[in-house]
Amino acid sequence: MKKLFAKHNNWFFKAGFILTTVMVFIVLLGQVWTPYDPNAMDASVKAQGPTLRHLLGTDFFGRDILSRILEGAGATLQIAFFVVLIGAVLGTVIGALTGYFGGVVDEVLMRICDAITAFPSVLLALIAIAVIGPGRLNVIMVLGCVFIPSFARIVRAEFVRIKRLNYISLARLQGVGDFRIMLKHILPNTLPTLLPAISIGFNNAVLAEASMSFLGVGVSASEVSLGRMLSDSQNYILRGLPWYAVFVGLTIALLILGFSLLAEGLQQRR
Amino acid sequence: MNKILEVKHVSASYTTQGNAFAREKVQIVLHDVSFDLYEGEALGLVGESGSGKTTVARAILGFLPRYEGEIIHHSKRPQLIFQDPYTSLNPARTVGWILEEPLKVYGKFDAPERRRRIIEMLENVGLSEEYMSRRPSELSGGQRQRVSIAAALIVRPRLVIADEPVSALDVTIQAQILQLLDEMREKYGLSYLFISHDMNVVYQLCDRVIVMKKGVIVEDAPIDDIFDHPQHPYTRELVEASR
Repeated sequence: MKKLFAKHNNWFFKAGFILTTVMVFIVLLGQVWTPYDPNAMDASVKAQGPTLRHLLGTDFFGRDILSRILEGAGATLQIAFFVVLIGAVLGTVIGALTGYFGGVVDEVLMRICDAITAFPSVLLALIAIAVIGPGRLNVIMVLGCVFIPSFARIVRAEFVRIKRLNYISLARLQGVGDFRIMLKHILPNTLPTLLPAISIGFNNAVLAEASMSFLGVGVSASEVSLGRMLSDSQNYILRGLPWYAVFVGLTIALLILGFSLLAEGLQQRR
Repeated sequence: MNKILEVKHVSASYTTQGNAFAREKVQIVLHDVSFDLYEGEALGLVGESGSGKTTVARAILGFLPRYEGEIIHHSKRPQLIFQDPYTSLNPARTVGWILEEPLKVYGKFDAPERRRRIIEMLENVGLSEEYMSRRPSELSGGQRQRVSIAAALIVRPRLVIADEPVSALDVTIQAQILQLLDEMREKYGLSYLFISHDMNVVYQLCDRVIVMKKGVIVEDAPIDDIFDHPQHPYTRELVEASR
């Protein structure tokens, strides 16, 4: 951690790190404690703007919006986390194997990746969800698979570049095996490229989940997520209650801003 | 004296890919190259760029996928020292890790023994123990080349191929590295195949010189003969240029 800071001693990294830490901390806090029960309805405070009792106001059912945002952001982050985990891990494995060994397998897998990339990722995910049905787990699996090609491509390019370098030839001369070379000699050198890609991927995953839930094919109707809340909040705007949409949108914006700054900071050295 | 390496009638060529505007062309890079390298000998391989000297090294180390002829090794695990000290060390790893890796792969030594050998080798090449925790980016060109030499020698090879190991260094550092290579040869009884375009550098280290031009060996003689009575006009040119 200390090393990371020394290496990326720039304002993007610092600001991104602080913002992300604060946001993640708030969201994590929301998992164990919220001011009100996110699903508790209270007819006496229906559809209010921000008040001292309900800092971000309430919805038509009198549910506390702050509590719901905390809960919903948790769901969204959880989905984004697993989506990136699936995409990055499988993408790295595929990219490493194809980049290192090349040949027919490389051609076939990369053409499949091209085909997947040719579709807008959310569209592709929509089709898959239409087939296997909505729900948190399905969203994670589908988005995860859709995210694989972008990581595979980045990692493959790095492996192709690095495997030609002299220190890899020397490792081979010293009798280091292929898989050890991939894991211990090449992979650490892909991190400067992979880390920013992971935080950008995290952003895209947050947005993808939000878009899908917004369109009503993300998490199921009984669950809360930022995308679903944004979708719900449309009804409030026309009835003179813009607060709901503003606060949900702001939460998404702050989350993404944090990760974007982090990614930018990781790409810049000093 | 025992032979440590025999190169017999090695020829290599590559075919340039043809396209709509150019026909396929066969480019000969090595033509009937033969020489022996003896134990404890430092053999210089001299020629201009494009003469095929690096291709010879690649063939010997098994990096050349296709060639005709035969290469017989009488030693295990020949090692290589590259010209460019900036790409021959893994930038993500410390010097200690880089030196430990071949020992780990070799598998016969426990952790304390590996550490002992690393420190011993670092001292051999004129670096102290504290360099173990340094990364290549924190080292100068000369220091990097010392680490490269340590990494090559730590597996105790008997044959070391050095491809222009001092060309990227300042003249004063060049002399130090050449002296180090000479000391290591004596200490470990190494044989060198020393590739260079610079006769002066070769003169400081080698016993015998092979001169190559356009993939063919044009002269193979002891170092003093090369300088005193160069036979081939191209050798004469090289010697003149170095005076």
